[in-house]
Amino acid sequence: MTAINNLSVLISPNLLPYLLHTCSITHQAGFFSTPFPIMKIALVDDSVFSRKQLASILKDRFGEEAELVHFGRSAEAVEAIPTGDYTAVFLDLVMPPPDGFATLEHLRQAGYERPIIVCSADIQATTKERCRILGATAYVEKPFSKEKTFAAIEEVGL
Amino acid sequence: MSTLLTNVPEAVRDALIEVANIGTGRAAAAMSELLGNHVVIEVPSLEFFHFDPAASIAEFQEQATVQIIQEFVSGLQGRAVLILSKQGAIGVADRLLDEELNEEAFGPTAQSAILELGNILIGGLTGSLGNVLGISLTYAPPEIQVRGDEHLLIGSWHRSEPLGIIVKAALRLEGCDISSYLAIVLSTESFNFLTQKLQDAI
Repeated sequence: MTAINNLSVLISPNLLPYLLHTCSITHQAGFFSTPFPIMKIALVDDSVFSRKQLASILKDRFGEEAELVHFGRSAEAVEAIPTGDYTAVFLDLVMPPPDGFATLEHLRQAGYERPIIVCSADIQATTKERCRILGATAYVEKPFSKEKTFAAIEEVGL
Repeated sequence: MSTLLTNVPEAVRDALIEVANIGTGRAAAAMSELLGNHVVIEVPSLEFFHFDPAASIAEFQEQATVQIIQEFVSGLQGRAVLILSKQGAIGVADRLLDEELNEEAFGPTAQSAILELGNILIGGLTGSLGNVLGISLTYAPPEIQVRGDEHLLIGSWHRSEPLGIIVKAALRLEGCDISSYLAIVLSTESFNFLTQKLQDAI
């Protein structure tokens, strides 16, 4: 574990628990290797174009450290995310039912406690407030840009 | 000008155009951010029609159009529409996807890109309107229609009462021949509600 502890000076404190968890599994299995990916991020958006744009930005930021899981249908995300060990969720708002509000509410009620970053073209203050009340951790206005997305990532401590 | 609009005080109409200007600016900024071109904005106009909305946007009478339509679920009764000629939509999809498309290739991926563009521009325009007027709008998912001009703007949304376009704004991409129109179509009741909100605010 010494080698792992030394690594801690080089990586974000927020990532350390995940790294240690993964390393301990590989260590017990009798070998040590760099564990990638160390994050699993859900992209929930009915727009293929929008998911591709976001994925491209997240790849720039995290490279192979993040596994990006695409959900074109929010109903599938609602089923998979609470038990899927997701590090964070990027969630669109305006989608066929369940919409982003309902999905957000459901994920929080199901016990999902990690960051949920709402992404929407809806720039209304009332919408942002509603998301905050429902448990959103951050809000990114579309269109996506690196600056806005990275700022949200910093804000939630990813 | 219709009776409905002439009944609206000048100050309210000015305020409505100003609010529309803010929203259009927001939409244009988003379009420019997505496409990388400067977007030229024409001053939004207020218009009103009864049953022939197609006549309002004569530029598209002879062309196939791509329309992205998003209904308001609450806050106001109506819909917002982004209209492009089909050729314009293909040109925009080219830029968004960074690949050369022809008319036959205007398939699901290109349509998804245009749909998202519409969602963003409509969100910019109507979201600004909501913010300024203190109205909370919620939206249905946007829909795309690729068709001739026979159902321009109205689509399948038929109401017995007259409808008003309160905003018609043209966004032109500088450096290429692509124009688009954003329009908000409201029921008379919502139009009256909106003008009352403005009257209260000024």
